[in-house]
Amino acid sequence: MKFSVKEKMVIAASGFIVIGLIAYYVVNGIGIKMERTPHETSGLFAMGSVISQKLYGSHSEVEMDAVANEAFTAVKELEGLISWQSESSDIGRLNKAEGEAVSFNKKSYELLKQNLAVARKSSGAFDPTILPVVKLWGFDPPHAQDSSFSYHVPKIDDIHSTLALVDYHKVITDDAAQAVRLGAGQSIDLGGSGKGAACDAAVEVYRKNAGISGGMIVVGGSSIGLMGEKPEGKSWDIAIRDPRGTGAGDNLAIIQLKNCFVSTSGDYEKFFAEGSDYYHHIINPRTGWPSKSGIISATVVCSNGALSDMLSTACVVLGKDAALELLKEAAAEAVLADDAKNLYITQGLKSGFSLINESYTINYVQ
Amino acid sequence: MFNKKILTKKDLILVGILLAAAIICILLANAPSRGGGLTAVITQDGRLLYSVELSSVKEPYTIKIDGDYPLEIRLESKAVQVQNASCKDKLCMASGRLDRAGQQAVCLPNRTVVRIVSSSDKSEEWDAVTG
Repeated sequence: MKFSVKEKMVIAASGFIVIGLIAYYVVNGIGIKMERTPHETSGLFAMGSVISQKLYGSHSEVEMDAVANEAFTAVKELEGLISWQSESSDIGRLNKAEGEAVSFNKKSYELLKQNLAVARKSSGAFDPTILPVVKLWGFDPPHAQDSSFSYHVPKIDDIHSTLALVDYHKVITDDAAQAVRLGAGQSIDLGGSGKGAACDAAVEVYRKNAGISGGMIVVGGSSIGLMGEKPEGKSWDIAIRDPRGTGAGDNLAIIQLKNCFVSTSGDYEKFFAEGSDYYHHIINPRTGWPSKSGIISATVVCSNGALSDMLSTACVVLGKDAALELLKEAAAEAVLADDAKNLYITQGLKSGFSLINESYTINYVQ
Repeated sequence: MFNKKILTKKDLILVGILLAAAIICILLANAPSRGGGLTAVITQDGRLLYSVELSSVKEPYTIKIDGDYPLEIRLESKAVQVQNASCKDKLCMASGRLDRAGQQAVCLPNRTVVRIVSSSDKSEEWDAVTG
């Protein structure tokens, strides 16, 4: 069979098209994907939470794995220092010391000092000595996971007597000795900062590794640590859960972030209903009752994980106006949701904000 | 020269083949993005227990996860869901039906995570959820 000139041209053209398509798939499908595909680990537990990590960079898979392991180990070490459920942790020993001074590890001491600083700045809306009242309500993990326990509203007298123990002023610290002393009957829980502090510990590991261009740790679905950015200078897309959503897929909005820490607190994590009332786990340290400030979810973004974690709790307790004041003082950004479907978004988060659930009303605030 | 047609039969066959190739390429490029390619990944203490391509599930079935607080997980062709949890909180059940990449249900007491991953990483709409 002989081909005419025209036929040869058509065959040549189709050849070029096929080669072009193959080249396109090689470059897009394989070549670039190597850099774009993150190293992901998920499903390990620490800080009473599931830990997920996502790493981008020039490291090999084996090196990425080593970094993820090192970050997880750092989180477990921190947990070993601050878990109040462990009798041998710094916090466990402090809570048993009956008012005697207990010497702390440097990291747990700094975290405790940071807790007391936020307690002061929030005028006690955040207070690490709230533990006895949280236990009374049964919102602490041993109660909340015990199937023989059922939630109930405590007796008012019990709330009052336990609330008398809650006062961060009575926690005495000694910088020289790196030691801490509690007031009579007090016990402390750094859990309000634990997930965020875990993010700090992991991001510190990422930053030491030049082969990591972007790293993300998610602790328990509420605190997130973000180091750097995604490939090609892209931001991390962080979805905020809808506080009145029904399942895992119901999100309120997406915020785009780089190099920062995010934490969310909301009234929907642990709760029970009794009669016609709804009782959730964020206890107002001033009243001993679940907070009723109008703010039902607070997402706080700032340059420190532990701080973002504590501020998010404080914002739910304080309510909109006082929360915005505290955020300004702490140089933190936030998305606050109230019980009337209003969102209050600080200026710093405006540019990367996109609403998913359109039944909420956006208000940008200073 | 007069009886030469502008397009011969062979030309038409070639054009036909080219068109077919182009259509197949476009279909291949667009096919795996949505709906298909979802895998349910179940881990306990970080260890992989099950990885099930949802589209391969013809009849819904339930798997049991052992441990201190056993779980029952129902797999369907388009979704996965924790059907029964033996702890008190049942937070994993509250996560509901998971049918999109990036969604997960976590059982703390039994240290189990059920999550949906996509074979094409572009279809995840976010990197993480805070809440």
